Amino acid sequence: MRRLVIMLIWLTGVGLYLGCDQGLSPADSSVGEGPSGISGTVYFPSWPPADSLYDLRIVVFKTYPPDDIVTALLTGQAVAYPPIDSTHLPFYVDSLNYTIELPPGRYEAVTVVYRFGPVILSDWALVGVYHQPDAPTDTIPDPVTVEEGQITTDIDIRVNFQRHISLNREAAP
Amino acid sequence: MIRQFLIGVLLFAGLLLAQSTGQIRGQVTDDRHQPLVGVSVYIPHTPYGSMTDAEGLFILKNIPPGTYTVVVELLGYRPDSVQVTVRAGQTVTIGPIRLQEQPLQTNPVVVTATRHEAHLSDVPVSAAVISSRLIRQRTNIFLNQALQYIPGITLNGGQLNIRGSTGYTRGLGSRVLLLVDGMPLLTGDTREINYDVIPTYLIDQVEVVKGAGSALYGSGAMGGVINVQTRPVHELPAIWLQQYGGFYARPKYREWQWSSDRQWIDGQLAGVRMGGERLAAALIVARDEDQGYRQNDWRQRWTVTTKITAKPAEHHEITLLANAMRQQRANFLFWKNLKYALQPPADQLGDAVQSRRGFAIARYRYFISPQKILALRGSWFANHFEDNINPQTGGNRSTANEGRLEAQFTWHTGRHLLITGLSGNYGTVSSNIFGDRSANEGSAFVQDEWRLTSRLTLTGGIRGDVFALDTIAPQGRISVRGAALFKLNTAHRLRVSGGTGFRAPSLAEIFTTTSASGLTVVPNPGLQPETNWGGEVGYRYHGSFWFTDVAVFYSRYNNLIEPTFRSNLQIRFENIQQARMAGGELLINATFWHHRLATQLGYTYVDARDVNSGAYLNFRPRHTLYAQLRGMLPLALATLDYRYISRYDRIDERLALFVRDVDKYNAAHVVDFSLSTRLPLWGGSLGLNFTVKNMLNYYYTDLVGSLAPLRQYVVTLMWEK
Repeated sequence: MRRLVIMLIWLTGVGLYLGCDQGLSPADSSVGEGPSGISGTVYFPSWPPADSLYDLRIVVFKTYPPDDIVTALLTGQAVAYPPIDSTHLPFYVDSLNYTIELPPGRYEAVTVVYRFGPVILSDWALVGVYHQPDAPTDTIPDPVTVEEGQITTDIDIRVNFQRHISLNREAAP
Repeated sequence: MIRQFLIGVLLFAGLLLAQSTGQIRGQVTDDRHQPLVGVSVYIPHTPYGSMTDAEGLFILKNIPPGTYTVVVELLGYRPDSVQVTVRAGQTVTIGPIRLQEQPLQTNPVVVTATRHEAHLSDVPVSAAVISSRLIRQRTNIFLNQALQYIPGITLNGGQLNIRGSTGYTRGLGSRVLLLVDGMPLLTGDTREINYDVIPTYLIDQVEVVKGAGSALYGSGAMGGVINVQTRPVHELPAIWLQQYGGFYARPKYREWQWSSDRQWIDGQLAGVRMGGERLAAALIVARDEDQGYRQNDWRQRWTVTTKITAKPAEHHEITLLANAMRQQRANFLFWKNLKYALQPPADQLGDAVQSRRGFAIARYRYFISPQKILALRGSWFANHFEDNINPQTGGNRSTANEGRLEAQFTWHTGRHLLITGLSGNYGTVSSNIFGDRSANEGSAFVQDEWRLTSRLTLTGGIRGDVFALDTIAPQGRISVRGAALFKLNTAHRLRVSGGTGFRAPSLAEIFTTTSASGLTVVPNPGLQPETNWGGEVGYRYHGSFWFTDVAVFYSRYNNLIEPTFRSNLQIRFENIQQARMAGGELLINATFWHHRLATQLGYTYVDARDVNSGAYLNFRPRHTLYAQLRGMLPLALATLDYRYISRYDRIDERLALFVRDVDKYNAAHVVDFSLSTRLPLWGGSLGLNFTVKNMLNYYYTDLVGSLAPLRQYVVTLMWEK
């Protein structure tokens, strides 16, 4: 009788086990259901005169610093928001929220650039970068990682039009 | 002509050798006089050895004249030895040697439950034992791997949970007290169990006592006590060499195949024992490496252990156990997401921890008389770790040292067994996350075990603890316990027990200031100790072939310390919860076919709830089932283990802020298999062991955001003499 009970317990256990599936799988993940990218707020404490304000965009660099901003955009080493072929960010607002869809990966800099003159190939300046809140300086960007199917939030930038950030390699980290 | 000459020389030499040596013949049977095949028969420290055939017969040839000890060993049986005198040209016949079977050790001697040696069947609380043989056979590199086979125990990311006592706090503030040879061994800063520093290869047995045990062991013994007993020096081999190697199965899904290389594990051990009856010492050096089944989850470790026993005079014994460990490991906290479950988030790649840890435990025992024993113990536990996880502060660092002294007097007088003692400890911490801190404790305890009648034994104990944690005013706690054991007859026992427990907050829980992976932890100097009370009623049957234990238990926990998310996404440890755990446990062990087949079955049900809200507690599985089948094959011992752990009823949903797919967790169904045998070799014995862990490669989480180890194959070779 005892043997029978024990054997029944074992058979039940084996049966239960065989009835189970193989556990978790990547298909159970919620990843891939949503877009990936970054979001945040750009703050504008002050603005330049309208005659020196031609364009304004958020530019995300895969590598930083670039040789120059335009080349980086043209070669795909940087992504502009809004895209170059569409209207720039609104002028004379205190702040604006943004969300940019980006492929997963590591981006070395999220910046705000503006065009201060009529020459589209050269009159660009970098006036704000994303950095960690306790970073020692606000002119050196901190990298941002974008995970698949995930929007990396709180990528906030404070813009200072009076200070053009140098793209010299010595100034970069 | 030349060939004939050579044959003649060889025959002559063989004849001479046969006449100048002798032989030993014999037979080995079990205690039912059935022949045993595959038994190792050898003379230690010599090259002479053999194995029994199908009739249980053996022969050792070419033995030089002399007196020898012939050792007879077979897995699943108690080893035996016989003194034999061999004369030249003669054959000595011995036996039959009858080996006592012990495939299932159902009634071992334990000390943790009562602070003195008692058979498991005679302790008035729920307790369990894991033998060194099982630990070796399963290739358990770390203590936590061995503990997961005990009913009622689960591990949440390595954190011990006995009957629902513990959720998940990244190891901080263990509610289970770890002892090594009776001395507490929790880290001085975080008060967690550090499995890396336990020399698993030196374990004799691990004793687990379930339920509140602060009346015997003080702070931390709320959910239970784990006592690691190390092997006596004289039981260690004179020479001991071990090599294991294995690998993880490749993940089934393409998304989980993070590397094209196979991930290996390996380890080596070399040990030596010297000395004799008065003074004996053993030294063991071990190294192990695990490349990890997950990206950024590798580990390398070196360990040096020594154990020395001295008997300077009759009735006096001194033992020293010392261990030093150095380890480098990567830090895998949570997965990137379930789709890429074997990779960490990109910003955690490269996170690594270096640690140096060591302990020394000294014990002096004076057997004053058969009724009186005085034991003095001292221990020192040092921990240092540093990581690169918080680059803004140059990484986290902490160095903790703790010294402890303890005296215990055991007095058997009439029907009373009186145990009383004092203990004290002092610790310091120097850390960039916990600060520069100190902590000290003092305690006194007394326990009386009163054999009221031949059938009824009552136990009562009380302990007072005073502790001071750095700048916080000293506090005190009184813990009590009581138990009754009623022997219905030689096989049946009824027991009732109850007690209180407490845990002083760790320095880390009070003073931590750090941030990692987006989490920021802030200090809370107002943190109070946790307390609990609880009890159980149990019945135990202990027959020759059958063992059953049934228990129902209840515990009430107050001021539970839990990490609390504040509105600004900071974490602070706070006394927030009143909780209760209620449940039951059933164990059935049985042996069949003349003990050649042994089965174990253990089921535990826990209902763990917040008293105020009625909600189920985080990270507590409701059902655990453990089953084992062990069978003696002709030349080997095979073991099949199955573990089922039900899905958490509830987790901390706020982890979703930091961990993707945090809601993707499931129940565990784990099958492990091992096959062991032992052969005579070079005057010693060679142990061969093959293990497959998670044999069916079931993909389950051992915590949220953490896929448990994949199927793993390990082969172990161990030679000892």
